[in-house]
Amino acid sequence: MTEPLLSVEGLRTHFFVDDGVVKAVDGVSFAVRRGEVLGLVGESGCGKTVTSLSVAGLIEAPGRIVGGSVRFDGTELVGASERVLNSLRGPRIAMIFQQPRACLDPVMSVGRQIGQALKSDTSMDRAARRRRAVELLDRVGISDPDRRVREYPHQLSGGMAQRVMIAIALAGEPDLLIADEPTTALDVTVQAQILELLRELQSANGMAVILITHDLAVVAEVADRAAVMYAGRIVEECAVAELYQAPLHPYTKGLVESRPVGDQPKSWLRAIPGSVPVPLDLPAGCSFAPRCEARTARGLTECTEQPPEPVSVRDGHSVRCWLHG
Amino acid sequence: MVDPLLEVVDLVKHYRIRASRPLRAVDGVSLRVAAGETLGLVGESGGGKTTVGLSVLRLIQPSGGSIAFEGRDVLAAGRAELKALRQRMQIVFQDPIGALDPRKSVGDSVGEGLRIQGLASRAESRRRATEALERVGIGASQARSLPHELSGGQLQRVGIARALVVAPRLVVCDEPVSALDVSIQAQIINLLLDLQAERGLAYLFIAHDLAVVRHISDRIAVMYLGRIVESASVRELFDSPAHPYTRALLSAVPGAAGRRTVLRGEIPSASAPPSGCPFAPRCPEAMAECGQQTPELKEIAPGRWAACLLND
Repeated sequence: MTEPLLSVEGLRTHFFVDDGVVKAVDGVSFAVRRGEVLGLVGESGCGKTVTSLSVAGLIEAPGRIVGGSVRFDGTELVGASERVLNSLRGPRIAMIFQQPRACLDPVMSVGRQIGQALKSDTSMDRAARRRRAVELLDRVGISDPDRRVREYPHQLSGGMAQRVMIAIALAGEPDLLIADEPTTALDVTVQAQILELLRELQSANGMAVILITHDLAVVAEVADRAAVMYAGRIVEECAVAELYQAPLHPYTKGLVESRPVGDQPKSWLRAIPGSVPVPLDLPAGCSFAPRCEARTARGLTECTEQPPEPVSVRDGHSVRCWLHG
Repeated sequence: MVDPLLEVVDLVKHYRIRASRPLRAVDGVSLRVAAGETLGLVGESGGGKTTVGLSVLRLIQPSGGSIAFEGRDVLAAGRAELKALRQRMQIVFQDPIGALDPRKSVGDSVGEGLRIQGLASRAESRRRATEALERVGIGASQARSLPHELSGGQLQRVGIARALVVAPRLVVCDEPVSALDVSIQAQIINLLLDLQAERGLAYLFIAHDLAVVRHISDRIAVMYLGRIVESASVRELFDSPAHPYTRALLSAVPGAAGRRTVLRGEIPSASAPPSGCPFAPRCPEAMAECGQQTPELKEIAPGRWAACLLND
């Protein structure tokens, strides 16, 4: 098998705050192949965004990558210089975020902002960049791009602002797009438009995508594989079809089952008891153990004593759980 | 239907912004909620759902229409009567921490309603607050916490306890689970279902998440640009949606079965609504007359209402 485009090994990103150390990401490993869409799923505070920021070299104090490796197309990114990172971010690794308007410069026209992303290509002059900006706006489905290119972010709706962000991200024709909750702030009909656009661009450009979301249904729709995060670790990784059909980790099962599916209205949903642990005070064993009903049912003692290691249950399906150890 | 608990007729709320045309946030909404029933109000942001919810409790003053609660005219109520009405109807918001005093223990915040309403002494309101908090799963030690010391799910339980403590018959729930994590959403939905079964509460349940609304509601009304475009029982709405907007909304849900209708564009501004049917510019099934004629909400079958010329 060829080397994956991105491979993350044992990544640990900690935040050194007054009250102690927040182990936001604590031993995360995964790989993304060229042209593949990996969904990184989890609830707020599980470390999915910190993982993606670590990959892009965007962690700032009081946070620090304290261990592990991030290799992108043969280059080690952990500890790489800003010069190396800058040569990759934009042209080869691009990001889009949940709040597109917060990422756009309010006093710069859409065209100029796309143009900035094209500046690394020195063969283009200003006029060429403008033409390319119009092309890119057209590519992401913005009607009347000749007019829109002169507009400012406040003139755009939420869905259009996200399309502009995607146009900026695509400007350098990246190999990897990191999309952090790209549709969470959008209405459901606009979400459907943006997901369709991402899928279409991904298959046309053969770009790899890390899609970060709390919404399992979004992952099921767009991703090839899914990695479920809980309290700073990936607890399960598998093909998307197996996520729904054969989830192994009690947390994944809980997430899948706690969503209403419409078959039994007004019935009790299978909620996961308790809440996500406080990151400064993680349990000694498996972080999910205090909420785990499967553990209580089986009477396992390892769960509260030692964190489980990931085990490969079958090809392409691994889980971090004593029930499967 | 027997006398409804809540009856809203032709509700209108316009906002005048500088000299421009008024923003028609709610533009002629009629709905009914029976005792013990849940009416789900769905639609995208900017559709006017929250404005309807706030108007029902008269937390904002509508521009027109009428609201009757237990047969009494909410919009004509004086100060004292409004206060009495608000013992019988309460509201739970999306962001519970924004609705709580950051310097007060959550127990005090829950008891406050009783004291303001003059319903109980200090000691009695404390006792009843503790009881309400216990019912929603917040123990006595947590009742002494300040809001910032609790998690989002716990805070929403406090928000529900605060609504419950005055023993209302109707609770307006405005996106009560949207800000919560998936694993916590199910806990809160279960709690709302239990409370309804126990106390015969009626809910006006406002949300954009169709799966959640489908699970909790008896009937659903779909709003678009300040109007109700369709209302029906949950089963009918999901099995055979009558309005093209409802069909598009259902098919846009990730993981929805069948062929997806991806709508063009986004919801227009309520200050410049399109002429004719407000949905016509995005409607995949629009006909020539849709641009000229605004369809009325009509009963197309017993208990089923839709505002669409296709159903004429």
